[in-house]
Amino acid sequence: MLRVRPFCRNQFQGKGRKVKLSSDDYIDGAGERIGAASAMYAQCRFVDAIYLAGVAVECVLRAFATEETNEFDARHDLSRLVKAPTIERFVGEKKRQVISASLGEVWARWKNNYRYIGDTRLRGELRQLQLDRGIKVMR
Amino acid sequence: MEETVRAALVAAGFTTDQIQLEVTQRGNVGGFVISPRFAGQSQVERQEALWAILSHELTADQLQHIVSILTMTPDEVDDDVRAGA
Repeated sequence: MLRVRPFCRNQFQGKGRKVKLSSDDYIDGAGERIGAASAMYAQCRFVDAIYLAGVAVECVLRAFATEETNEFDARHDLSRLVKAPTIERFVGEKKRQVISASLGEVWARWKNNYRYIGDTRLRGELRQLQLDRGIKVMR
Repeated sequence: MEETVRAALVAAGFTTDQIQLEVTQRGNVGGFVISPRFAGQSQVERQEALWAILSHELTADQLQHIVSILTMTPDEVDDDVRAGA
């Protein structure tokens, strides 16, 4: 019989098996996802790399959002996570321009629909948006 | 404060429907400006232009209450993949 082992430190609550993740869980997840994204990028698997890197950023934002609300929203919607109450928790006055620019870079490249397309289609999309800088040419 | 920031952005030529701001519990303001005007500019260039506008229109004390304002084009926030891409 197949036994499913709960993800490290997840707490299942009640019959609905509602998953409650802590800020530490999200930070751990972010570290692992960005490592996986780097590995995918090295293999020129850009769809996977973008998806995993986006999830890593999402994890970090959720870590701060969780401290604020303690609620879990399963939607992958970066625009909901780059809201001012979340950002003000970790952005100081001196860094706000740099962080805003970086979050803008991520938001422009991390769309929910990208996970369903292939690398060729993604390259065309990023080229049209002039966001293809840094993408290697596969041989 | 939200209306002051919005007025500064409108004075700089952004339309009200391009500006999405919110106020935090601490009374700070943050949000997005989504405008085709940013097309062709890097994110750093956009931020520099935006903060130049804000610095011109607002006092130092008012500027301290801005958390972040993301600068996007409509295409960048559109979740659809372009046809024929």
